[in-house]
Amino acid sequence: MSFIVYNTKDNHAIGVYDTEQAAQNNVSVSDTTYIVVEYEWKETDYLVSMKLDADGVLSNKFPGKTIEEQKSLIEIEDAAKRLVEQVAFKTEKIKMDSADYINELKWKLTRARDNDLVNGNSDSMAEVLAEIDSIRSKSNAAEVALNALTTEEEVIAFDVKEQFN
Amino acid sequence: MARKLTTASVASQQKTINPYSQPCFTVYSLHHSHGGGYYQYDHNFNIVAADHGTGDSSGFGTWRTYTTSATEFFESSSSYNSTQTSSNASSNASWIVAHTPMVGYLGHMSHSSGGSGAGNMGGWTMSGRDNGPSYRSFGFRDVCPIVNETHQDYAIFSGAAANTEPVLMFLKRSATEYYNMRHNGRYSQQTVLPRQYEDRDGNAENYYSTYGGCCYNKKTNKFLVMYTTSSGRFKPVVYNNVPDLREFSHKNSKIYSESTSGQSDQNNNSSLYEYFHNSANITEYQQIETWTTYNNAGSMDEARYRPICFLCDNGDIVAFVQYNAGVNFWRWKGSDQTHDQRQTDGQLSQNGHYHHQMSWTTLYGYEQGRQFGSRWQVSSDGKFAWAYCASYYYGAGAYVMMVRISDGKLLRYQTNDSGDGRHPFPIGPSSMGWGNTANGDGGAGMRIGAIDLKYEMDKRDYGSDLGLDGVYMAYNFECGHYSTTYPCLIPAKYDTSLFCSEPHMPNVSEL
Repeated sequence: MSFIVYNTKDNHAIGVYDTEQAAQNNVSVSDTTYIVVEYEWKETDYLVSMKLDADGVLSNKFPGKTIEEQKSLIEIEDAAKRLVEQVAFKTEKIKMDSADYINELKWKLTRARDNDLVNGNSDSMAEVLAEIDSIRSKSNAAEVALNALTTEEEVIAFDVKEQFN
Repeated sequence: MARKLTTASVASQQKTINPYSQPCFTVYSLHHSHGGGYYQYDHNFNIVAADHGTGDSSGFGTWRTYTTSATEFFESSSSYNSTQTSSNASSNASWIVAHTPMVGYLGHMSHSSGGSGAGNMGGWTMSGRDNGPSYRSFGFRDVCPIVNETHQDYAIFSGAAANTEPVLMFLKRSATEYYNMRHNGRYSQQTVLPRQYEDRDGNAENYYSTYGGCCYNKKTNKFLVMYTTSSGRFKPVVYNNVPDLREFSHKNSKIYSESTSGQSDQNNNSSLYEYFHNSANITEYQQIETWTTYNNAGSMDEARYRPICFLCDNGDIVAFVQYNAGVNFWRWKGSDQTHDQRQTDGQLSQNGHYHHQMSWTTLYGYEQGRQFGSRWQVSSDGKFAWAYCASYYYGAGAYVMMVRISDGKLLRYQTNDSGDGRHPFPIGPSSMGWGNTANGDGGAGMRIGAIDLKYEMDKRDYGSDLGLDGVYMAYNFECGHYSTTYPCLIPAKYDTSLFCSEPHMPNVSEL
């Protein structure tokens, strides 16, 4: 029997120990994030593949796979996770940039209202609203373009500023 | 009639500073869309400085991205990895601040350290779209261990590796200064070393140089140079009766005003050139056999060109060598310099060649980027040192070798964490702090603790495990954000001599 130190907050295993005492030595008393789980360790188990379910049972999420196969699968998972993170960064930046550009046009709305009152039409306001709408359209298009990217490298290279030019 | 004035005698003109009240480390966080800040603690775990942001709106003190900028920093966006703490180490490459190799003797690669002269400044970014750490990483890769030194205000760099002569630079304890000196000028604080010595068969060999593979033992006045070959066959050479290298390192203060003339200095202009080229100063140790970490454990440049070495008082040399799936410890005995001692130490497990091995899974070194690979630190009193690296890919988990410099006694630790990096730091006179960059979600803050290496070395058997992950105190160290954030730790650069018997100022026992 082995004893696994497990991070319950981020859901990953940290170490395998032969005795419960050795495992407990690697867990601080006051921190409930880290727990020790008893587990029958198998030669084909890869620590990164070990996951705890809702019932507190630890198992290998890639049963039947060799260690090397598990590593490959984990790498694919990690790459996908990084892609999601990078897309989230860039999506947030697109939204913040578009909000910023729109805010920068507020003074034009005031001026357009005044112009339209003087001229008795709505031409100026329509012009500014079209400008704002263009920013929204570019923002939406940027998000679509970003989400179409499939690799981390492509997302990192994606220049948000260029999308609003 | 003149009056006679009497004056009271002055009790003491000496100003005293409690060494424990000096800065020790700073916790840093900045979730890319929430809050964060710098929180600095002293050697008693009391907070001494804080710069905290609430993470809303624009302007100073926000610690978040505002439209196109990270408002506090000279940075166009807080989504850069050297600035934000939204991502954990995991298998990420890049400049994640939580990576284990992000900290070392020179502090933190992405954030300048606070120190005794830094007022209430806990630290500050050196990022600039990840460029700052990319410049400073040269220093973290090249800096050589200094042991038994109570005045840890300088650094020695070995900045050439592979088939070339070693190049040493003796400078201040600053990764930024090293970058300046390395790239912007050639000054008299630089020298090259000879590299032709006997191989194991007694034949002359032109050895290769290493990044950071030297060690200065101030107490014994000896300087170790670890040579290597293309297959990683290490060969230690020890210089005796070394001039005071701290004094030499501080001689370069004139460079700031005379950099133009300094540009013309050559490697052989250094007064140390003659010393290092005098064979009478040298003791050769035995080269290792053909079984090497590079050849037989896992080949990558870190395994052959970047040993972290410690020269102990008894002449023992221990080296920490990282390969693509773990680490090896190597040892040479000072009492028998003609043999590497792979078969004579019974306490650590061996397989007949290397002294000890810890391994787990894929691990990368400096060949994947200067910011990766092994690091080292030393206790304030200089009597204990530790080398370490990640255990998972680029920066998660840790392998650690702890050394008692007086006799080379070793303790070890391995944590197979695929998620979070570890950040060690010196604390107190002889202790080692240990920080975990794990998720601070739920108000746990950064998990930090410390162990007294003097006590642990006395108490534990040679080569035994020391469960560093068991020391953490959660809910004690602010990390600026209640939800998901992966904080990092910035070791401070304080006056180490205040902890010791010959301080700049009176030591703690006189307070």
